Amino acid sequence: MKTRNALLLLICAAFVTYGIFLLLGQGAVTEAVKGSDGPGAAKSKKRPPLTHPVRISQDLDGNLFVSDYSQRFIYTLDGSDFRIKKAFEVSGRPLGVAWGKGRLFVGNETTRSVEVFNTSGKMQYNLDGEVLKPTDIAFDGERGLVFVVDGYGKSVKVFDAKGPFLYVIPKEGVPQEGLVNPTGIALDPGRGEVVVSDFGDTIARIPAAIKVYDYDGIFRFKISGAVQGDFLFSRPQGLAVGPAGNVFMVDSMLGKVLVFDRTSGLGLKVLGSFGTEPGQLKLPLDVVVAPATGDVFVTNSRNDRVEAFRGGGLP
Amino acid sequence: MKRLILILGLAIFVTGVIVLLPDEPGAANPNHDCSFCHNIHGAPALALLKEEVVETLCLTCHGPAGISTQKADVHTNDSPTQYPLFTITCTGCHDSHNDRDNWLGGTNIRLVGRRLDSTGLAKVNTTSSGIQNTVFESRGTNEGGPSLHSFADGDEDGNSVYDGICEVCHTLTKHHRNNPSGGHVHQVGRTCTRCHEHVTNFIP
Ligand code: HEC
Ligand code: HEC
Ligand code: HEC
Ligand code: HEC
Ligand code: HEC
Repeated sequence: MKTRNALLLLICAAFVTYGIFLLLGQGAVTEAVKGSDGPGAAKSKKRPPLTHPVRISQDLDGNLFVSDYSQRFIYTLDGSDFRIKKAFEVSGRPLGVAWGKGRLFVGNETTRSVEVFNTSGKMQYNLDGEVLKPTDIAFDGERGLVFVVDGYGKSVKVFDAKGPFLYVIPKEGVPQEGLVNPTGIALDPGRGEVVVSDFGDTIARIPAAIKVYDYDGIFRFKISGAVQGDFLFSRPQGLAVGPAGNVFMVDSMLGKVLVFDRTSGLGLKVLGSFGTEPGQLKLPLDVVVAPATGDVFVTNSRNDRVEAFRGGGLP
Repeated sequence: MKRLILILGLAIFVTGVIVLLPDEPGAANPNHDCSFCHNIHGAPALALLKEEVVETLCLTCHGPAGISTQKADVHTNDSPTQYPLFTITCTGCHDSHNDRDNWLGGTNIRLVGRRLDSTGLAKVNTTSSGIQNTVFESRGTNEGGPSLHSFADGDEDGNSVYDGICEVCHTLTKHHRNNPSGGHVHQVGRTCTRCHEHVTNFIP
């Protein structure tokens, strides 16, 4: 019993020291805001507060679209003051959400499909075919393509934005790096790349990683979660490609946004830390970076809010 | 320097696990591997002693975007309610390691009831009645199990102990309190979590 206590103390000391070192590396202007109804907001429909934000997307005018798994709503927030501008109910539990030229692509876990709404919440059509767990979605407006992560199908399904199913990533029949437990997705249209986060499989000793494929589903490279000291990660979720081409990724366990250099794969900086205070994250699940301002927005799921790191996306 | 400390910490932790094992329950639930929760990259292992860290850990897999097919949430009444505010986290009801034997000689399922003292028996640290035994051996009649020793026993076994997981804490609810007062017939034997789901905080 005594040895046990001594050991525990030692581990404790070692980790506290380590924790302090990590903390010293922080520093960014942060803002914790809970989406709220502003004075001018239309109260047409009974609308619950945002409580379990999961995925987030943005349009070209600074609006944010957030899915709430628990409330079964999609919220439109103003990216500057976080006022809830609109909200609509989904019949089922929404996961992935992506804005695409006036439409919203919503992954519905309950109906196992991707439903397409206009921004006022009117259902337009479904993407063709089943997606077992449409956990995250990305849209390429130039090419009119929708990329859907199928968490249980363990692949990315690519659709024509009008509905038809096209193909799967990773490309089948090619011996290459596959996806084990994919979660989040982002696109780098300039490079023609699809960036996917993957939990890996701890039993099979496959570490978590960010995996990058080209649009055809051919593997290019990965950033492993088990290599870089200050940038170790194990529960990667949503991703974003920033203005300078850097890769932003939230780790849902650590409560951090890790930023990686696209070319070298090396860690550049960290935003946030685990906790409930402003600027802290508890179960963050997704991230977007506003191209013009470099503002970084994170769904801070267990803190019931969206977190803003103003200018955090600038180099 | 940082890396050195990390390696040291990990080394000590691994040694710790080996040394502590005899004292420890042994194997994890077959659905879980030790690596699911220990030696997580970048996360200090000992932080697992903090409830909110453990809750987050569970939700990385059992939360909305997690990789488990089984979705969960805490038991809380944050919406308007007639009761004082409470929040019961995952480890308020579940053991982090294994299915525990219960005080009636059976073994609980689904990690319900945790090891809280040297008896190692499945217990719950209740909100207002101290540490109590809990028995959970059946998922109820909707799931094809027996009524007896499921969520709320309504004292079906006639031993004057209300040790079902969905009654062991309750002292104010309309149904299924941990004492003879109030109603004990509401849906008794049914699979309560069909209507009282984790994802809605167990509120119907
Ligand atoms: C589902 C998550 C989970 C899994 C899987 C898990 N542990 Fe743990 N472990 C914890 C938590 C949380 C604690 C902190 C104490 C607690 O809450 O029980 C802990 C504590 C411990 C301790 C410290 C002693 C104690 O009981 O407090 C040891 C040793 C340990 N675990 C060993 C193991 C081994 C060996 C395995 C695999 C057989 C394992 N754990 C699997 C979550 C887990
Ligand atoms: C790394 C992912 C992971 C983590 C972390 C995790 N679980 Fe699980 N858990 C699973 C998987 C996978 C299953 C099996 C069901 C499935 O296939 O989704 C499971 C099953 C369970 C079950 C059902 C067990 C049974 O006997 O049927 C319970 C209860 C549970 N987990 C509770 C917890 C709790 C409490 C924690 C936190 C202390 C936790 N889990 C952490 C992945 C995880
Ligand atoms: C109030 C008690 C309570 C709390 C709090 C609680 N659980 Fe449970 N959990 C149960 C019971 C009872 C069952 C068995 C349900 C069944 O068999 O249908 C269960 C079952 C599960 C299962 C198996 C799948 C299922 O739905 O039956 C998982 C996974 C699980 N819990 C995870 C968690 C996690 C993670 C948390 C914290 C976020 C949590 N639980 C909080 C009581 C609780
Ligand atoms: C660890 C303690 C604990 C356990 C276990 C527990 N509860 Fe509760 N529950 C509470 C408390 C505290 C209240 C508040 C009323 C009271 O004290 O009786 C409550 C109240 C409730 C309410 C009413 C909430 C409201 O605001 O209207 C429901 C419904 C409920 N519980 C369902 C369940 C179900 C179903 C289970 C089993 C899966 C369960 N509880 C297990 C602690 C617990
Ligand atoms: C068919 C759906 C259903 C099932 C199954 C079910 N409940 Fe309920 N439960 C409800 C509804 C609806 C209410 C609210 C109305 C009421 O109080 O009766 C409720 C209320 C409660 C309350 C009281 C909350 C309060 O306001 O004090 C408790 C406690 C509770 N249930 C526990 C259980 C337990 C334990 C089981 C399993 C033995 C169970 N329920 C099974 C639907 C269900």
